[in-house]
Amino acid sequence: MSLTALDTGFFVRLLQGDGRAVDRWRALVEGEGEGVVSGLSLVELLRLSLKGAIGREDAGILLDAIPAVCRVVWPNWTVGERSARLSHGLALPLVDAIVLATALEAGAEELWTTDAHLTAYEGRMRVVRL
Amino acid sequence: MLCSHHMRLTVHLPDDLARLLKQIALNEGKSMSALTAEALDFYLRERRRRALGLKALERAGKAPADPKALEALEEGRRELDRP
Repeated sequence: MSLTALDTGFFVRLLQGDGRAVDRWRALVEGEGEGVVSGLSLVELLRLSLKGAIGREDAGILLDAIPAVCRVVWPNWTVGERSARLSHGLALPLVDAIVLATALEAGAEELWTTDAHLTAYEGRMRVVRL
Repeated sequence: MLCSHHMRLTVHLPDDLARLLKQIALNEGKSMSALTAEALDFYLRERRRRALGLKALERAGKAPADPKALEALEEGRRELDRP
């Protein structure tokens, strides 16, 4: 079963009705493949709602739905160490590196993101930029 | 994850389903209670997963997301890396 990592921006795009994000989410809900999300994305979505960038009710819906539909992975030392190396090697901001390391450690085949910095990664996992 | 406390529950099953349950339980070396609990746990989780996933999908394109939400996200990430 294919594993897709979803970055925070994916969920913003989902709320905005982006067709690719909607189709990918619908497929995961229908059980086509598995999703993995860094716990930091939940923190970022909550923060965006507190800033008023996304609605609080919508953030609540996402914060309930994401752990139900996807595997949520909180950083541990393995992810932390890999993040530090990726951040240093690819000159990535730390949160970007944690999201990337989480996806790689989980064995994801694709990482769906809106973040331009993550396209610096070149390897076995495909980075899909929305 | 199943709770370690147990509640006795009497249910009525169609004969065919009961036979299938008994057969699979025997094949897998599990009690019918254990297999029923496992199946129910899976079903209820799947139902919840789907319901919550669809609820998020219903908000797609209707949610009042700030067009600058992605900029706010980007800015938040950069803030953490400022010296």
